[in-house]
Amino acid sequence: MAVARPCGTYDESYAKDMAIVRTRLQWIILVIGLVFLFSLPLFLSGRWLNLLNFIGISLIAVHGLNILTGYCGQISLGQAAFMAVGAYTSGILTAKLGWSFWAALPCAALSAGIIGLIFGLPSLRVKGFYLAMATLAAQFIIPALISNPLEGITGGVHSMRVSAPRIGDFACTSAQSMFYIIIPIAVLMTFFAKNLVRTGVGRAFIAIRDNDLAAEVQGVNVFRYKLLAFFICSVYAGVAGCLWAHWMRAINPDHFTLMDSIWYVGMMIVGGMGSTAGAVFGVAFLRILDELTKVLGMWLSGIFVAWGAFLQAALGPIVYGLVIMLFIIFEPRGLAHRWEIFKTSYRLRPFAY
Amino acid sequence: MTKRNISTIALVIVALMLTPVLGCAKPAPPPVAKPDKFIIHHFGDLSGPYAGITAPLVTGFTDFVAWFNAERGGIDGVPVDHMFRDTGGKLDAALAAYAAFKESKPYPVVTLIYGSAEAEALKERFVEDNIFCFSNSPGVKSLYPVGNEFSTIPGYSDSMGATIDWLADVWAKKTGQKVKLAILTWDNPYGKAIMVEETRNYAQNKGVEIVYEGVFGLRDLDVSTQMTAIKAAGANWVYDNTLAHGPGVIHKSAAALGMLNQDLYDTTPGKVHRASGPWGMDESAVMLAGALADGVVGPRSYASWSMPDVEGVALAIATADKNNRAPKERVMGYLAVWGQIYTVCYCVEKAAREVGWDKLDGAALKNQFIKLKEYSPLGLTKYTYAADKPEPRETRIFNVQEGKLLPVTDWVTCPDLRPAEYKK
Repeated sequence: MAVARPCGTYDESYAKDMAIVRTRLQWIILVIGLVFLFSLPLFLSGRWLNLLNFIGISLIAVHGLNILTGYCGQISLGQAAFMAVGAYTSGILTAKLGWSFWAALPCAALSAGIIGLIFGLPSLRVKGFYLAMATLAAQFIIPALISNPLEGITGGVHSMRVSAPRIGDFACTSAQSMFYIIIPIAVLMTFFAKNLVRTGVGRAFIAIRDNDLAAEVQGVNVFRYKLLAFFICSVYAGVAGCLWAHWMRAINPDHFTLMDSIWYVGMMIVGGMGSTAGAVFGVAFLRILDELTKVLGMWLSGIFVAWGAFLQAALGPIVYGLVIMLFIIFEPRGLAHRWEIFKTSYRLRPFAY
Repeated sequence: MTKRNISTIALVIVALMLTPVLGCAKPAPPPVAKPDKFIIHHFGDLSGPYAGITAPLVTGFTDFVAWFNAERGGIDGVPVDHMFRDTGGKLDAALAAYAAFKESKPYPVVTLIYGSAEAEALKERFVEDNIFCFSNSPGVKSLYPVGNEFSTIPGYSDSMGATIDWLADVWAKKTGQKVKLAILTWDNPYGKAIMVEETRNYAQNKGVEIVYEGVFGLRDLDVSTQMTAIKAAGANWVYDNTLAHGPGVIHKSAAALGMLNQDLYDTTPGKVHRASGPWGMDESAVMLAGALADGVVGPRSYASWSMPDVEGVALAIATADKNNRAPKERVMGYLAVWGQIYTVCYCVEKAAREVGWDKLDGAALKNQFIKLKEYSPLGLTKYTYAADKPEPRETRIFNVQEGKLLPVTDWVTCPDLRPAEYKK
């Protein structure tokens, strides 16, 4: 949809038109927002910081998926498997070779990116449902490789112990300390994702998504950009996997299942595909919803004792499924679209149109 | 003045002299108030692949707490309560549950967990946070090096060792046959916990030949291919470390190939006997497998529902009857959790008396567990722990006879098959 500019705001140059943060007010809001975000550990308990850490990790994974699916139109059902690649790369480098977390992080991103490239190769020949099936293969092959042929270095089906990240002599074992590692990386990755879509690469992705034939006629090297999208998506997954490993401090192939990949797709749909803000909304919404259903389930099970186990077990999956279904029916463009409608109507106030 | 009067006056003078001294002394501290209730936290999979095992544990927990408070008056008068969260078998949900419990007031002393993955992942956190964990998943990675996680059952490799003992000492001697053992188990941390050098070496030392090792998936419902290979390897016993439907999948495929031998001491060539790990010797696995489960042998450290003479079983039967518990809930998990929570309450009571309720923490509780030697909660099981061995040692070999799980041995001590580096 066309985005209305705030009243009195004009783009006087191309650079201003392309800027991510356009107005002074937006800068102020951004700075206050970041200060607020990074001061959260001062007044939030470990439980909520734990939730925020998971939101941060999921956000990075969903940003990657959003670049691939939302912007480039290539579907992937293997995001959790690519996270596993990043997690195990980092785990092996830190636990077995004694590398620091900070050195292992880019290696985890790179290794996941390369594996993502390989599984992106079918995108040259197939698309849509068939490509989804091809990427689904990653979800079977990668955990199987970790569990069996690579058992000697990965520990196979047994969990691999991973150390907490260290800054000097300080080990980041608490939710608070991990918050200051996960969230800044999530913010940076969000910025990169937002920035990417206004570059030539981003425009090529969007051209491929909208009509790959037309894009090719325009001179876009479709195969190259599709592979690049897979690479970037998997790099994001690798970073998310690395953070997951060092936050959990133990990794296992069972942590990276098809169900997790579907969760990430669900988060992207609920937030709104093809929108960086949508990824933030989708992840935050579903993660908080998941937590709330658990609390609600516990509360309800205390009231309806006979249904206690059922309520605790079933409420979350039912609500999650319903939310995705309702979003697909009533708001397929996700929460990001609602946010745009809200902003536009606010900017047009007091006029109705 | 009589001697008596002189003594009385002397006592009064001494008392008067001591009064100021006693008056200056600090008053005795008021007794520490007991808490309103003692909360036991637990989390597990109620909506994922292990829901069938976790659900009866949670049901048993609820019933036990109600019974214990009503009949035993709680722990030294303090009612017991519990707080459960479903994790769906997902580790992030387990960590979220753990974080939520850690925030609760009063600070948690003990947590029960049911899954291998969370037991491994939370190991360090239980130590850092000084919370004692009573775990139903005795994997080596979660128990060693010794931290705050103690197992509710003997380790999987120890349990297999006890079965190997029975096969070598009883079955082989009675039949005059050499035991040729095939291992066919789930391809996950729980299933493969028995595929370690310690069990292989122990089998070899006991004269049991392991002729085949294979795995199958949690959701696989047919293992005919593996059974064909087992037949070709000449096995006469197949051992698995699965649960719920897992043992039944093997029985069914063996029966379909005409390989299943349900007569315990029959030695027909080409047929195999079945043995299963501790959670495979569960009523739920027997119910799911039906008549095919008859003849199965395996280690089980808890009494079964077919043993009403045991005090804990009789109490559980009465409570389950009162609460209209369905047959699917009357399984090992229900009984196991009765024994587990009874033991937790016993140790909490002892620890509270020793250090006081105000100083009761994970370390104090752990110390009480280490002191347990052949402790039998309501006759349901036996717990013996040591500072370097946070897993019980006693088990019994059970056999399924016409759908009933009955012990074929008295209590036996499992061989110590933990990895060598963790032995003293």
